[in-house]
Amino acid sequence: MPVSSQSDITRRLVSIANRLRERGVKVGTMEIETALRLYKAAILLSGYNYYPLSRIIDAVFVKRDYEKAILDDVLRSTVGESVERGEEAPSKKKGKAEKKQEKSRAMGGSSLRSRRCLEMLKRYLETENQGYLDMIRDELRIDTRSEVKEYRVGGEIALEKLIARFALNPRDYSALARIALMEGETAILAMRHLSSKRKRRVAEQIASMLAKLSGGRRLRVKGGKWEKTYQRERIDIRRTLILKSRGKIGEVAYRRRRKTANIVLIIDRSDSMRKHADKIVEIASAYLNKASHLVLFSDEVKVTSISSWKSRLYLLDQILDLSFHGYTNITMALRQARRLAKPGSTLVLISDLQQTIKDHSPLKLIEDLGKGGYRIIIYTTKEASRVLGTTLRGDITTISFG
Amino acid sequence: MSEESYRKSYESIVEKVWGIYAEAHPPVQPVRNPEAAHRVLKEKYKLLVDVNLIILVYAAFLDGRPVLFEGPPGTGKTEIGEALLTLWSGREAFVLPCSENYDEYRVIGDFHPLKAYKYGFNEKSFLPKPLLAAMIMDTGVLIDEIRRSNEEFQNLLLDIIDKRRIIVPELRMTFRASGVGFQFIFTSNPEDLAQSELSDAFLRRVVRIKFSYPDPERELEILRLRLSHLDVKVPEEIMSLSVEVVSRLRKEDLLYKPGVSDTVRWMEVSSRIASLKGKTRVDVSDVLEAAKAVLVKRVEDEESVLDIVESMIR
Ligand SMILES: Nc1ncnc2c1ncn2[C@@H]1O[C@H](COP(=O)(O)OP(=O)(O)OP(=O)(O)O)[C@@H](O)[C@H]1O
Ligand SMILES: [Mg+2]
Repeated sequence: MPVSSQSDITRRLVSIANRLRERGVKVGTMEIETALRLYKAAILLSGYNYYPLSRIIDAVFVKRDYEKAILDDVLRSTVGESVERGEEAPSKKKGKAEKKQEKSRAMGGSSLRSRRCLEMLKRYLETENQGYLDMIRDELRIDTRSEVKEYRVGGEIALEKLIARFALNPRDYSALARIALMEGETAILAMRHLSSKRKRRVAEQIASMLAKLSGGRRLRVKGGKWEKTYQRERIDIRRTLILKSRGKIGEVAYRRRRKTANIVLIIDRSDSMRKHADKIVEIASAYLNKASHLVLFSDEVKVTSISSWKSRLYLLDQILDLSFHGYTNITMALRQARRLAKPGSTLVLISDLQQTIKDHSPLKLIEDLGKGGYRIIIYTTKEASRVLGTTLRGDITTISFG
Repeated sequence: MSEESYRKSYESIVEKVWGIYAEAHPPVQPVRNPEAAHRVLKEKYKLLVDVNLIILVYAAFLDGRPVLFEGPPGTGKTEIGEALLTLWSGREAFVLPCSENYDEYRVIGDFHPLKAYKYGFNEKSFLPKPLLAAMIMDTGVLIDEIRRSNEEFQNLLLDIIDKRRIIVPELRMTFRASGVGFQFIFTSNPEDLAQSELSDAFLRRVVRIKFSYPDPERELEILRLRLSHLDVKVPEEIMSLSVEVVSRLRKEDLLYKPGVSDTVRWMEVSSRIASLKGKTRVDVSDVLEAAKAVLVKRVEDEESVLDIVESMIR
C-alpha cells in the first residue's frame, strides 16, 4: 500500500478505535477488520492509490449521528498523527488527488492501469472473489476503446493481454504462469494458486481412481483384500503416489490420525501489563489465525479453545477488551498450556515475567518445556529479555517490546 | 428427496423466477469502474454522485457487506442506491419499500393456497418473491426505509446477507448466491422520529454512508442537470434564487424541510405553469405559484414557509 503501509493503517485504526472506546463508542474488532479491508479495496478502486481513511472510519466506526461528533473530536485531538498522513485540511484533499491524477496521466496512463489490473489480479488470487476479475474485465474493456493503446511499450501490452486472458478465463493457467514469470510479487501468489489448483486436479484423479478400485471399501493391508470399512479413512495421496511410482499400483496409503501441532497463545493480563496493552493487541493479532487456544491469566487462568472462524472473532474481541488486574502466576498458566498442546507445539507467551505469586519458578518450567520438545516464543520487556537471553536453553526465542 | 428430483424442482423454481422477474429486471451494461460509474450516473441517470461515495459502496460490495444510506428526505438515497446496484450487478435492481409486516413469506416466497391444497407444499405451489429472485438472478436489492420494518425482518436480512444463502424449509431447499451481483443497500432517515431505531447489531454489520443536503453550488449543478430537458427553460438567476430559498428553509424550525428533490420538483412545476400560460421562460410569478404547491407539505408549516419564500422572491 502506497500512502502508508498496512500495519501503519492498522495501528491508526486500532488507536482511533481505542480512543472511541474510551469515550463510550463501541467499536469491535470486526469493525477494525472491516475498515482495513474496505480501505484496501477503496484504494484499489480509486485508481490513484489514494482514499481518505477518515471516510472509511466514518462509515464503519460511527453508528449513530451523535457518535460522529465524538469521532470528529477524537480525530481533532489526534495530536501529531493526522489520520490522513500529509492531509491536514480537508480542503487540500482534492488538490492532492488531482495532482495524483495528473501524474498518472503524465505516465501515459497505461503503466498505471497495468499496475491496477495486477493489483486486482493479486487480490483475486488471494480471495478468489469473482468481483475482482469482473473489475479487471471492466478496466481493460475501457482500455481498448481509449487511445492509450498507442502509448504502450512492449512489456506493458504483453502483461495486459495476459491479464485479460486470465480474466476472461480463470482456467487459463498458462497465462497465469506467464504473468507469474514477469512479475515479482504476484508470482508467489500465482504459483500458489497454480499449484493448489493443479494439486486439486491430481487429487481428484487419484480419488476417482481409488473409488473405482475400492468400490467404496478400504484395502486391508494384510492379505491384500478389499473389505468394508465403516470409519471414514482419509487417503494419504502423497504416500499413495509414492507407492504408485514404486510399482505398487493397487496399494493405497491412509492417513494416520495424529493430533496436529498447535499454537497456544498465553497472555499475561495482570495489573503490571496494562501499560503494554497496545503491544499485546499487536502481537496477539499476528498469531490469531494460527492459534488453537488462548490462555489469559493473572492470578487465575482462563482458557478459550478456538475452533471456527467465528470463535476467532470472539477471541480477538476478548483480546481487544482485555482488562488488566490481579497478580501474576505464570507457572500456573504454562502448566495449563502444557495440558492443552502436546510436544511439538508452539507456546507463545506475552508477559513481563514478573511472577507475583509463590509457585515453582516460571523460568525453570519454561526451560523444561523447551527441553521437552515445545517451541517457545516469549514476548517480554527489554529488561526481562536481557536476563532471559543469558539463562535459557532449548528451542526458546525471546523478543522484546516496549 | 432423491438427488434427481431435487435438481428438477430446484430448476423449476429457477425457471419460475426468470419467468416472473426477468422482464421487469432486464440486463444493463455493468459498470464497475467508479469513475466510469460517475459518468454513467450523470449522463444516463441524471444523478450527481461523488466518486468517493461510489468507491466506498463498491468496496463494500467487494467485501460482501451491505450499505446503509442515511440522511434527510430528498437527498437522492433511493435513486442513487438503485442506480448503483444496477450498475454493479448489470441488471435492473430490485427495490423493496419496507413495511411493518414484512416477513419471509412476503420477501422470499409464498405458497399458492389452492395449489398447495392440491399438490402440497412443493415447487408447483411455490411463489418466489423478490429476495429469492434477486439471489437467483444475481441482482442487487434496495431495501427502502429499512426503519419501517420490524427487527425480526432485519435479522432475517442480515442472516441472508451474511451467509449468502436462503433456506426454504417447506421445500427443504437451500438456494445460494452464485455471483457478486447480489448486494444490498438500505436507506433510512434517522431524523424521522415516527420510525423505530435500528439495533446496534444491525448497525455494526453495515457500512454506513451519510447523506446530507448539498452545498448551494452543487445543488445548482444538480438543478442544471435535472432541468435541461424542459421545454420552458428556467433562467439561471431563478435557479440560484430557489437554491437560496430552500437552504434558508432548511435552517428554519420546520416539520418538513425541503430536500433536493423538492427543489427540482419546484422548478419543474414552475416550468409547467409557465408553459400553461404560454410563456417561453419561467419568471418569478410562476415560481411563487409553484411554491405553494410544492414546498408546503404540512399545514403547520404553511405560514412560515410562504412568508420566507415571498420575502426572498420579489
Ligand atoms: N445527487 C443528486 N443528483 C441528482 N438528483 C438528485 C440528487 N439528490 C437528489 N436529487 C433529486 O432528488 C430525487 C431523488 O430523491 P430520492 O427519493 O431518491 O431521495 P431520498 O433521499 O430517497 O428521499 P426520501 O427519504 O424522501 O425517500 C431525484 O429525482 C432528484 O430530483
Ligand atoms: Mg427514498
